[in-house]
Amino acid sequence: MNPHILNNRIKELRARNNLTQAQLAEAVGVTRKTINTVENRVFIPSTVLALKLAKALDVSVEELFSLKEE
Amino acid sequence: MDEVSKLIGQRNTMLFWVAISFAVWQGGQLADEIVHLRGWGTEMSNLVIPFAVLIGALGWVAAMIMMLNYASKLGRSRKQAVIQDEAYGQDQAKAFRIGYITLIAVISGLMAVDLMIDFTASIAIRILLIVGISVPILVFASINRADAEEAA
Repeated sequence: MNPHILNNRIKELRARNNLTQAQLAEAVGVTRKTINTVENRVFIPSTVLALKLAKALDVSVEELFSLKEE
Repeated sequence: MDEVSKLIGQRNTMLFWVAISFAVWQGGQLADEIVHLRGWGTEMSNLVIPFAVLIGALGWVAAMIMMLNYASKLGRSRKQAVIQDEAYGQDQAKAFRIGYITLIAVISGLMAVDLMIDFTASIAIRILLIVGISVPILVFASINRADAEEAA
């Protein structure tokens, strides 16, 4: 079992940027479902997607994602 | 509904059709083989089995037409990369994994059954074909449908 949880601030930053999941999905070129699963920590995105999300939300990857040990 | 949601919905419907029609078609053939092998033929089975095979085969043809239609729509769409994104790849891998485990379980089951009951290789192959094709497709479509409903 992976002892780490990948925390993210997508929901908070989306709200700050007035973006819906669908709009963020459109901006980074994935489905809304992918945004939803990343946001709910069901799916761990690739480095490329993480970078795209950070760029779309105008923050660094470290600000967007962080590791939390269980 | 946007283009991406529409295409995902169409893909799920198409996949359900593909999996179910194949299972009905080949399941009918399988039932026919078993009935003939065991001599269990009745008036009812002689009516129901060919009907199931016919319905399944027609459904399979319809599913293939749907698949061609979907492939052409997807090819024309600029959203192809969006629909086949990372989560899609993960769901696909999960469906294959579950399909593979199910197939191994069915093979083990068939080996155990073979110790007690005689059946032909063709029956075993047909069972494996149904499981190997229908299970991963159904799992993939189910995961996608559940996630789409959750995301909505």
